[in-house]
Amino acid sequence: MLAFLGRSFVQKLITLFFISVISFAVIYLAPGEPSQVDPLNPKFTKEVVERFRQQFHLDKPLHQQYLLFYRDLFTGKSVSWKDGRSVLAKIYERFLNSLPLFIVGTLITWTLSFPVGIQAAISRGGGYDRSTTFLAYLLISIPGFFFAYILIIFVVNTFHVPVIGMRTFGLSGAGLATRMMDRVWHLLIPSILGATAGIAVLSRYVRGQMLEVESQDYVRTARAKGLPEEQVHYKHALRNALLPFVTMFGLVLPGLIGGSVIIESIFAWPGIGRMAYEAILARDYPVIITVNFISAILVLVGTFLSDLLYMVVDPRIKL
Amino acid sequence: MTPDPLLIVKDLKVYFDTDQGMAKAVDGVSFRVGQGETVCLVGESGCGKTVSALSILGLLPQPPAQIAGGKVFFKGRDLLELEQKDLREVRGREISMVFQEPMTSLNPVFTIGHQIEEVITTHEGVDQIESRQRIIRLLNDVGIASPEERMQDYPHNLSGGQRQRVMIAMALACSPELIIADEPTTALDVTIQAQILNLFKELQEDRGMAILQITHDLSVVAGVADRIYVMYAGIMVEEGSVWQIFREPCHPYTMGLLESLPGRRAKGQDLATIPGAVPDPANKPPGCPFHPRCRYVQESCRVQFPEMCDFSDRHLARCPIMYAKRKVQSA
Repeated sequence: MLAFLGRSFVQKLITLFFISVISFAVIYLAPGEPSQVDPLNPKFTKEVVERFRQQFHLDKPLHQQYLLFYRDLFTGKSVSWKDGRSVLAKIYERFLNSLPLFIVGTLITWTLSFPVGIQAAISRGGGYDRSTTFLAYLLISIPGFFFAYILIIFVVNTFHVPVIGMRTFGLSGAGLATRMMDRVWHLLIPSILGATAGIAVLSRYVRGQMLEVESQDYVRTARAKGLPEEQVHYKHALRNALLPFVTMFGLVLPGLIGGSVIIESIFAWPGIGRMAYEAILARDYPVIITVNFISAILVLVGTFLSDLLYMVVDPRIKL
Repeated sequence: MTPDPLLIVKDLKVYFDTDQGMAKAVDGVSFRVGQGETVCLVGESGCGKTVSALSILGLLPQPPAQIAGGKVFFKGRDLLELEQKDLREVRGREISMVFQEPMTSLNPVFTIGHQIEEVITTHEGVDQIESRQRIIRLLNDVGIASPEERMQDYPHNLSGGQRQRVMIAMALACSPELIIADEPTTALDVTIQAQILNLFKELQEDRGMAILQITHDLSVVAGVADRIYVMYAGIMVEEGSVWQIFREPCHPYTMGLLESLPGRRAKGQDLATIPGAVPDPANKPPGCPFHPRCRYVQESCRVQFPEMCDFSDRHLARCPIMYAKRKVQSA
């Protein structure tokens, strides 16, 4: 167990190092440079550009830039080239904005996908199975931005509530209940939208897993023992069908910092996805690389957690 | 033999709806198992043995399977007519099953103690301490050493033979009157096979339950069976006592099976085989289903479905040709 922890930690550190090198190199080797983003701007004189390059070490060789960048990152001195604010503070602020979207979206996805998928597997070939299959493919195929507008039009026309942004401005004088409801409405539509594709995909996957397990010999054994159908499905089959989802659960974690560019753009939500997107347009390297680096850490932590979780749920796995 | 058999299967028909048409996996099979008897269903893979066994307890997924006809009387009740709830009462309590694959028949994520306990708590309202003692006793009875520790084990901690012993312990948990063992030794190696078969024998002597053994291995049959039913392509072709079947097989298929036993030929000689292959259940030949492979085939076999002929005392075979031959010989 301890050996596994140690080995895993060292492996992940090595992986992280390579990720840091590659993501740094990819971004620096991509065409364009911060100083060239707006060449027609009369303020960007040659001297300004040169000073800029010196200030951010862009005139140094790549490996030195790499070292300087990660030194700044780990000492917390890394600043955005766009507005000079601390990168970590910027990310933290946007992360707090994206967090509710992520939590609500993930909760909706996971709590709906499982019952839907399990029920579809149990009533295989029946009406419920067919209609959820149809719906799932519909939701997978419909473009997110299109579906978003349909949802917005529907909600605004039916409930007469504003849904764009994180909240309605000018409500500070209103009562607590009104302000709460306003936040809920703003949160609900983007969360649902973020969850739809997830539900469609995940419930299909749950259905497939469940179907596979239902045809196993031990499910027949459970039935032959005279157990009630609920126990056969929800205990003997489900417990085994859940195992692969431990891996998926670990991969949810990086979503914390991923955000969704499309949804945040449509709903003018000041989240982390949009910030990263804007940083790319502005060649704001520190922000891009830091977001990249943090999500790499989250991926590694997620896989590590799912390894540990496996040990808990699957008695065959000993670490 | 008892006058009132425990299990009577009468003209059972199980069809599968496939893309190639209706596959008649079991097409009018009848057999009976008396109290405390060991009865063997013998036949090649795909002849409908397992399907017959699974449909006794309603364990075939429907669809694709459908019970097209017949009756399964267990102690006078037709199991095919029972409600799901009543059928569940029978499963595991009055009739239990031991399956072919001990490696996959136990649930990998529960301890074996828990899996045995489930049978007991589902059917009998006993408290934890009592069911624990019963599990230990059961594991002991099926020859598992230090049962207190073993019951905390997961199936992957056990060998194939041990798992099959656990399956048997599970089947015995509520002292059923009938155990259906579907090729219980096929997946095990030969020494373990013998142990498991002996275990069945001992348990039967102690507890007096009936066993329906399903197998394709005639050497298994010889040691354990009281009565034998030989199946071919979804129908019963011959039935009789072990003595009758091994001494004077009447159906050409049974003869072929016996001749193909390895012990029947001298060393160095090729083993005997039955030419041809089992017919596709969705596309069976007309007349006697065995006629394309039969060396005694006659014109009538190709068109007319043969009747069961009574050769001697409770020894029946579905072959009028052999019946006529024997009559001539004995006359």
